[in-house]
Amino acid sequence: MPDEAALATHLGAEQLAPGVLRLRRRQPLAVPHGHCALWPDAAAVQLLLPDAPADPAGWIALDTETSGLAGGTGTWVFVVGLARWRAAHLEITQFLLTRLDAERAFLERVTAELAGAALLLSYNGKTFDLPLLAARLRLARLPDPTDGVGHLDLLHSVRRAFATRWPDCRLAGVEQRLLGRARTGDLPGAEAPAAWLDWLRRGDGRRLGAVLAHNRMDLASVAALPAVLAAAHRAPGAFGADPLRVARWRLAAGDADGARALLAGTAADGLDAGARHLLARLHARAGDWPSALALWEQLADGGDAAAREALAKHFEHRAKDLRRALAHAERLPPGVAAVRRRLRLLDKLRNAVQRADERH
Amino acid sequence: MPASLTLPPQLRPTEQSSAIATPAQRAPNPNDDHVRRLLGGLKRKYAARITGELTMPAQPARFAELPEALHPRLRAALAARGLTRLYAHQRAAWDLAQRGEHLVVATPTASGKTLCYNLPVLDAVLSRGAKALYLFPTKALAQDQVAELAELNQALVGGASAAAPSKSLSKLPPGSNTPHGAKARGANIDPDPDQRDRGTLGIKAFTFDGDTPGDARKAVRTRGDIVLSNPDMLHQAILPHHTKWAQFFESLEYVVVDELHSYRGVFGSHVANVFRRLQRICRFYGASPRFIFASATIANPAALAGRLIGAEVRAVTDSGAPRGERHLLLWNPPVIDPDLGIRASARSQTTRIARAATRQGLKNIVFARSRLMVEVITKYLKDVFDRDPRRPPRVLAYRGGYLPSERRSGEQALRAGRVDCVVSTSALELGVDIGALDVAVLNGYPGTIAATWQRLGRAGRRNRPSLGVLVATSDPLDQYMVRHPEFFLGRSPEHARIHPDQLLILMDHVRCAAFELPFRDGEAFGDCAEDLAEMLAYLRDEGLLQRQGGQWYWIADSYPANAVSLRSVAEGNFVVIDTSGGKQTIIAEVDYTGAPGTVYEGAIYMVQSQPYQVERLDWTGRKAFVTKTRADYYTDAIDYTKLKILAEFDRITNADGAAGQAAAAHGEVHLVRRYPGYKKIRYYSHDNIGYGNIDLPDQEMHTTAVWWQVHPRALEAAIAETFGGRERAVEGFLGAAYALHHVAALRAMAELGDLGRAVGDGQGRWFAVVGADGRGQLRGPDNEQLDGACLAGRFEPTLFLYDNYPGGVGLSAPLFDAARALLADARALVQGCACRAGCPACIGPILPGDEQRVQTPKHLALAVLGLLEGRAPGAEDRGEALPGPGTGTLSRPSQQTADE
Repeated sequence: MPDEAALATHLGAEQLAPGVLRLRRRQPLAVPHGHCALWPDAAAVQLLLPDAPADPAGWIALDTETSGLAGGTGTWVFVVGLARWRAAHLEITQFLLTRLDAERAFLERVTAELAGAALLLSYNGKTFDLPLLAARLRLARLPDPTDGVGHLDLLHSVRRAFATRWPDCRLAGVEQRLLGRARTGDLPGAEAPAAWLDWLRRGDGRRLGAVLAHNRMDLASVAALPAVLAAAHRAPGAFGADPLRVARWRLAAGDADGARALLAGTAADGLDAGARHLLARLHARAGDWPSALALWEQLADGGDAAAREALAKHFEHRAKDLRRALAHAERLPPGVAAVRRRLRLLDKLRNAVQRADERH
Repeated sequence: MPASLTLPPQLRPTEQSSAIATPAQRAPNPNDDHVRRLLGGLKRKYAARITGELTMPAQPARFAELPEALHPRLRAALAARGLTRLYAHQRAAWDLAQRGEHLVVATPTASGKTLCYNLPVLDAVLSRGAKALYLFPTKALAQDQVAELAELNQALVGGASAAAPSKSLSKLPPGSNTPHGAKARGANIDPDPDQRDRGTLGIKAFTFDGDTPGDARKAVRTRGDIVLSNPDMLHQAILPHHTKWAQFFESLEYVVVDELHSYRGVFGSHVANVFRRLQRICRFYGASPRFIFASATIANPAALAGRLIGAEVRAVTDSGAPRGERHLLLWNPPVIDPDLGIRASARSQTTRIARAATRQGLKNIVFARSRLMVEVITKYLKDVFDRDPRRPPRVLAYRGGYLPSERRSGEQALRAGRVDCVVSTSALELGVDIGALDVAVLNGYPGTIAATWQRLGRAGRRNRPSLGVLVATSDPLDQYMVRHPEFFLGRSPEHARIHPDQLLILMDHVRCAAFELPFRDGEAFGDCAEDLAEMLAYLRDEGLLQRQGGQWYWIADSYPANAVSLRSVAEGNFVVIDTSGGKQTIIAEVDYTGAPGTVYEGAIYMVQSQPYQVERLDWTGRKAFVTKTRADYYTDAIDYTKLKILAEFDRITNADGAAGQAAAAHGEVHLVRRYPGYKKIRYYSHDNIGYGNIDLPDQEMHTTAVWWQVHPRALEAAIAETFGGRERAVEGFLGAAYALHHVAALRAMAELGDLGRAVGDGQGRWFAVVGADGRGQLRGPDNEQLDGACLAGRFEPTLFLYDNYPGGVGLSAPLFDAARALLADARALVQGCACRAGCPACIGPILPGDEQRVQTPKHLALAVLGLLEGRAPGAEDRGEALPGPGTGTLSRPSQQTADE
């Protein structure tokens, strides 16, 4: 029979009920995680998730360890780690399930700890941790305390800014690139299921300490990431992020000025053709035609057909300079639309010449 | 001579029908005369080939009132569409459903089965916010149905115009004049609920299958009133994620299972276990849904449905729908070589009839038994009707293995009436909506009476006359059928059987069920008779489960449903990739079991009768690379099977005095199937013009078998007295195996392919095949030829019939119980055959010279059957001296497998 009391002692945990252990650890906010502070940054969080509550007292960072990645009702959540900001500390609470038939008690404690949460922060929690937790709660016939709670999934922010720039968006890589922190001696996440099975099958809990340590490191990273990610969203160029995707995100949120400022503020060589097009359109939308035209001219000189078309449109409809419009139209790649445009311009020119003629 | 027949009871028009209903008014249709003209022409010209004829008179409709309790909005909407009464069977189904019974509706094609389940379901959705799960055996059928429901949904607000006739409503009385084939294919209901709710009653019916996009799945789970899916999705995607479906399960009132008759054999046994899991999950959510099944005509719909869900199911079988006059001909191809008993091929007769029908302007369907035959017949018909490539094709091939897009466009062409003739495998046997046809030609007996009626039912919907022709091949079963028309015409369809407690299948699903919810000590798994605790303990020892606090919890990091396919035990389909012109285009899929016999290197693989040659087969990557070819031949794989007895369960001994001794046994065997090569067969002449080698891994499985043996002492005596050599005895065993295989398929009500046959020693030391020269040969473990006389040890040939599914699906035990009767059946088949020396209709094809032998192959086979029955050697002997072997010539008649 596995000895839970011994395990609790070994891990420095307390036994809340048969099969349910809890660890509490406090991490001073002043001690940096990598080269980043853990201080709560409401402005950063609200930049990444505009509806997020400003008061960090309601924020909870969440990360789980599971019996596998297969998904479905046969996958267990055996560690739930939660981190809250308390005065000068990050308070980390971890629940460990040590008996299969104690899951309900385990989930009740987790639910109680989550009560009052106003915002969840996670890394891939939207698609992984929370659906699994929801499935476990359903199986135990318990209500889901995370229903309707705001959720900032930092994986989504990382993907937005860096998916086109990095080979992958795994948390370990993010820590290295953004937090300046390399993990050493960490138990790879994939070994967590085996560590738990060792305990269940043989009462061997030696590796569970490493699992919990790994979970705490993940939580600290989730706590530290909003600040640096917000910075990368404000100035993508400085972080090697993708300005176009970040600008599009701002635009989709209805912030055209912000998107324009973001692109305009990025060094010109940091913008690819797509980003320049977007910037030109945003300039045009704001009525800044000289800046828009300058960008299109630049692109057109590089042989960009879409820019030529934009110029042809501009000169035909806005500037009413049919000859310049035709000059651009004539350099459009062949196609029905291009031919139509040229014919229409020629028609208009002919009419204009005729009208001019009649005036003489 | 056509046999004179009485109608089997289920075909007789119902007597009280005229009292209740007036026959629907029928618009005169010019095709009526064409069908009768075609029938008259065939009977005049080919009287000798028609061995049986059946005419089923038109049957008027029997109506019943719409139920009082029907939800007023549903009643109003139906009335708005002119539907004010039901067919009698639709009302019967309603009444059973209201009493809370599980029920099955088994009435003919196009009798309005859909409304039988839609009515109670829609009523429950409208009055109580109930949910329903519809299951169809294929994705395509579910998509068909969701379009129908969408139209019904429209009809419920009375908004649908008469200009858009729907299949679901045109099937109903009294709208019998709606043009067929004009069914508007409403797109899937928009999964955006806001958009959809506007202007309809808001009954939300969604398909849920592999094509459902990830972002739409949540809407399906949480907002669908009716979810249309298939058993495979239920098994792999819904049940293992049941917590996501919690809301749905909590309100689940009805589970509708259409095409019940297709849930038999391996597939049915799997699905019965999926239903055990489904009911277990429903109990967890406090629901106990009623099941409504719809089925084609089989003998035991209620028993099959009951076995599938482990509960009593009530049957509705008496159709109140009208039917047009139906004609059926049994057709035996003429004998073209009386000496050899060789008949013209069924293929030639089938194409002849299809040509005549097409020329008369009759829409017709040809059913062939294999994909290869579909392609061959299509080519022959296209050579006649589709010679001009600029015109749209009149002939269409339809079979499994085509890409879904190609099948959908084929179905559309059929519904729109753009195609005159479709050639299909059993793929079109199911309720795929292809509109009404006039003539159905069956190239060969489909193997069961139920499937025969199902295929014939494709012709003649509603009030029009139709013609079905069953063309016999030279297979013994077919020949028996056409020579004894009363067997087919006077008999009720077969019992469909399943074996849910087959151990391998059961274990698969216990594993899946344990993943879904922990088992409690003492819990049962449906009506499973096996020891559940023992199975759970086994799974614990495998490291999958852990028992704690009286429950068995899943702890492994795996998703067991992904490893279990309901359709077979095979892994992974092969894709066929066309590399012509440097591009790579996927043109077809071949299932795992079919692959070694169809896409070996060198094979000609046909799609819409365009031949492709397989250049390279990537076995591990499951890919066959092909290029277009103009070859004037097709290819046919040769396979052989080695069997080794692993365990004997039971044995009975036949003894006729001391002289003869024989035994029958059944048990577990290990089987290796090998494909050594293939034949090239020229079109039209069907000459064998060459061979090629196939280099593929052996296919192995464990299964169950029944086998017969003769005591070596008795056999040696018979060899000395009767056969004159071990090779001759082996030839007799092969002939006897051929006959036994066919009568066994009939008795087991299985399809021929569900059973396999083999002759060997049972130890894997040697086995017997018909060699390329047409003679029985002995082969060693590596297919090297052996000399029978030099075999060491006892010579104990064993004749096997095995269950052709891994693990066995329960076919061999009933055969063992009937082992004696089977020998008598086989003897009757062989003795009753009109041939002199043996033919494909009794003991298999023989060599042209063999009928000259005194010791004919037929004689050898009868002698072996006699020995197996335990008769003393010589009891069959005519006392004639036996000539030595090798009197035959070495060329064979065109082989049966090549032809059919």
